[in-house]
Amino acid sequence: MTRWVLAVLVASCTALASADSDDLLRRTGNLLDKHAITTGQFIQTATVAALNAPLISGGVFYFDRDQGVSWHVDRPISARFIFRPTATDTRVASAPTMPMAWIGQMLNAVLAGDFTQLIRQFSIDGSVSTEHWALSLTPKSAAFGRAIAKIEIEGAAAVSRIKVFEANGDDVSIAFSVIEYPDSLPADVEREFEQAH
Amino acid sequence: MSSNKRISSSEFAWFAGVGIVLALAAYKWDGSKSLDADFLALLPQTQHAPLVTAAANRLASATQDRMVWLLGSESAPIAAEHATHLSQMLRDSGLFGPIHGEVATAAVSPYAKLFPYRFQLVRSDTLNALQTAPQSIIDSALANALGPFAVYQTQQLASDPLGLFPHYLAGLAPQGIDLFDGRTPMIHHGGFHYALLVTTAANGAFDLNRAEELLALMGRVRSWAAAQGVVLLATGIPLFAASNAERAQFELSTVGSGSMLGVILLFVITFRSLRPFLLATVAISTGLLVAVTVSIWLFERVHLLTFVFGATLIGVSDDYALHYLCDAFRGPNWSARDATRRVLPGLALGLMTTLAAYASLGIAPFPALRQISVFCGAGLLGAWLTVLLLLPSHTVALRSTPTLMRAGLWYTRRFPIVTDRWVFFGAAMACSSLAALFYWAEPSDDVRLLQSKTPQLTQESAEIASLISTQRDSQYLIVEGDGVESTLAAENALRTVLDRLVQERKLHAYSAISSAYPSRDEQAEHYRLLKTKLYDTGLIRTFFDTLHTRQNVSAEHLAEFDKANDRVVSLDDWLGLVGEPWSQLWLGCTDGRCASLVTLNGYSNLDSNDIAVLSTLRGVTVVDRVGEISAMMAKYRVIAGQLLAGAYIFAALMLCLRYGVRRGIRVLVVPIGAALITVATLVASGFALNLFTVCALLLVVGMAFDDAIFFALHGRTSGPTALAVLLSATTTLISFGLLSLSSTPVLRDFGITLALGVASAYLLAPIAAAVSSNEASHDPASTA
Repeated sequence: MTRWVLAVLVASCTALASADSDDLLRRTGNLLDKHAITTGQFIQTATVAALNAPLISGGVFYFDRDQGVSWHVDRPISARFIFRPTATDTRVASAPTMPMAWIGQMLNAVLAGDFTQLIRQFSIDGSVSTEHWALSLTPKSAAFGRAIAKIEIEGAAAVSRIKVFEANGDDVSIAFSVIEYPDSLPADVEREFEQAH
Repeated sequence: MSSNKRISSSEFAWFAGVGIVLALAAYKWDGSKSLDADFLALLPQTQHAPLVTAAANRLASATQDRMVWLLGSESAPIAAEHATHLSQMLRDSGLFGPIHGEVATAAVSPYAKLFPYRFQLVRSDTLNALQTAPQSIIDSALANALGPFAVYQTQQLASDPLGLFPHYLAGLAPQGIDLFDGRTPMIHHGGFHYALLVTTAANGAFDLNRAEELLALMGRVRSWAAAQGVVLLATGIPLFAASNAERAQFELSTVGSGSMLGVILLFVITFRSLRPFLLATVAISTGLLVAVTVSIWLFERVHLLTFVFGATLIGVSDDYALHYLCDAFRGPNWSARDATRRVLPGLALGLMTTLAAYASLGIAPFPALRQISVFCGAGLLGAWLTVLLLLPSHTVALRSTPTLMRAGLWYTRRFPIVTDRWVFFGAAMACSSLAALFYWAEPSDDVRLLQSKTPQLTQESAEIASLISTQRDSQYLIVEGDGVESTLAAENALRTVLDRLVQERKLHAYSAISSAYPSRDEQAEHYRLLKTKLYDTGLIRTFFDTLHTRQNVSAEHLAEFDKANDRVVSLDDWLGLVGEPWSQLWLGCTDGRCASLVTLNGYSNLDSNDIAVLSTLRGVTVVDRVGEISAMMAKYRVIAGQLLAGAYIFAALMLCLRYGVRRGIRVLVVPIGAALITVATLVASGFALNLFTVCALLLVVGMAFDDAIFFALHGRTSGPTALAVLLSATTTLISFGLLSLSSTPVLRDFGITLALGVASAYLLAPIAAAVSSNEASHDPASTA
């Protein structure tokens, strides 16, 4: 009898929890501006034990709902990356292909303001106020968990920061600024997307 | 009336014979294990070096029991989610062994063991960069470290700072397939995402007994996919075999029951009595029993196609019973002894010509033709012996004049009397037109004639091949050498040619071990290149410095690099670690000779020059089974054509010797005319001549001779002959007509050719009767 009651309790709690995270993501999504094209600047700070100083890079990004993310690192060196919205691997414009599928998915999901895709891989927790939201993502699979401990994302009408905590204690944080919603992409970025097909 | 109640010696012989055959059949029959449904089983064995055979077996066993499933959706997560469900459905069916995605097995654990060899296992584009622009390697590693979430690069700074190992691994995985969520292999094409599943049969081999289960599962899976709004594509030899088996079963029962129905109907209309029908049924069944028994004893496995074709025996083997039974219409004075004396010469000649015709099918080394030849030959002999041994004691005289006899006589009597001169002229004209048609008509020697048409499966299979670049052509290359190193060296030489062909967009892709496994020398060379270009030049130092790497981390890396100096991974170890599909490409070594396999995708785009270049390379053999078999079909089509001509010449000589030139040519003009009408009709309606139509023409000759001989022996006004020929032509026509509805092109072509041939032979047959036939009517003695 007790076990039966417990089972019902557990079941309803799980249902509640998933309803909660669905609700959380829906409310987060409501806060975010939705545009076909988003551009902005970023500064990435990697704190890595193997390095004497944090590794800082900066540049601009271009996001197109249909075509994906074009990521331009301008300093300290210049490098370009393309992450297609549903592709499962990264097509790196100027570097060898690396098997980092989740990075592309994450960037596309975050910039599109559609976090539902992430539920499959992460348990999601967080808080939403009237203007601001913050999410905490924990990998569901053990294999993924060996590399990534936790991911924190926060923002308001647009995403303002993503921070990845690696399992070995390192962390990488990306801060976004100067978010704009132009009507079209610069011609050279369009070309990049075309070539990445 | 049957002579008495005691069993005659001939009846006894028949019962004893049937008993022995039954026992033999029961001893040998082993359910569906004695059956074949696979298209490959129909192809001729080509003579080859043991190596080629080994390669063919290796490739066949790799694909024999494999099925590939693709689930497509516009959303990758949806495709992945449904793939999980599909894999559960497949697992629940119990039809399959472990279910996996091709990459999933290849992308995980064993690769950790390759990690120590990361300075030896270097991908070719990295090598090019090392030689021409080593700085670019440093630049892209820096880019990755500064790119979004540079996890790998910063975590592996001490062991693989440049990320060369994951880049090497990416080259091992099939191109165009990647892992979604790190676990579902996925292919992306035209806005669609296809999740990939690969299954193998449950007990290592697909069991034809479970064909129905597999098809039922396919039905469930298809309707599930349709309900979910996802695209399902499936292919694999088990699926083709199962659907072939199902169709063969359907066609077997169509031809069999259709023919049987025709026989029943004609017998009821003609004899208005159960006895003749029962007697004919006994003859037909005995024929089928002998046919099956001889076939399963002679061949290890009998193909379902043989049985489908064999079902036409019902319509063919009833002829002998018909000729005998129709003779009983001669009236009250009829006696079995007279009948046998009267009918035997015709029956014997008829059996010989038909047997000779069926036997000639066996000249081409095509298992399908040989089985059909043996099956039908044995069946006819069984039916013929039954007629001779059993029918005399059970047949009774018949009085009536059946309607069909009147119909038969109506036709033969109205048939214009053709003078000898016109017969000669006609024969000459027919011969030359036939020769001309054979010369001018465009032949077709396509292996696919043997392949059953299952449009949906064939189309899905082609779609899958275009989506997965690692799908292999049936043509492939074998590379040989003295030892592992020289085999790999020969492969390297070959690959420069293949790379050029890929660059010229002739070849789509190829798989060769040497493109992923470097030989011992190459491994040492790769390490040396890394050392001289990146480490000795200080480039690696600049990389570490740019990132502000801690001193101890970079020192640790340099020490690791030094320590890896003389590491070598042997081919066997490497193959053991990477597993399939790479391990399928190595054929192994015997007595110091080693061989490997290079599979191709896009062979059909190569021209003869390219193929010549490939085959002149040292140690390289081009294996093209499709081409060989097509060439073989062409060769034997010509041989069968010559045999056809030979059959006419031989028959002409025999007939002229036996009956004189005038009567001989009269008989001969029937099969020649029938063949001409058949070929002309086929060519006019757009059918290409092939080995099988020419073989069918050989059968037409045999059957047309049958008809002609009976008219030649008994004259055109003999009621029983007219009836027997009409009935036998009709039943044969029904059988082959039904066969022409087959979905297997070879059976269809056989059916159409034979139906045309039998019909035209019947229509021409009265020519064979001597002109002065009036005196011969009702006078059996004159035929002796």
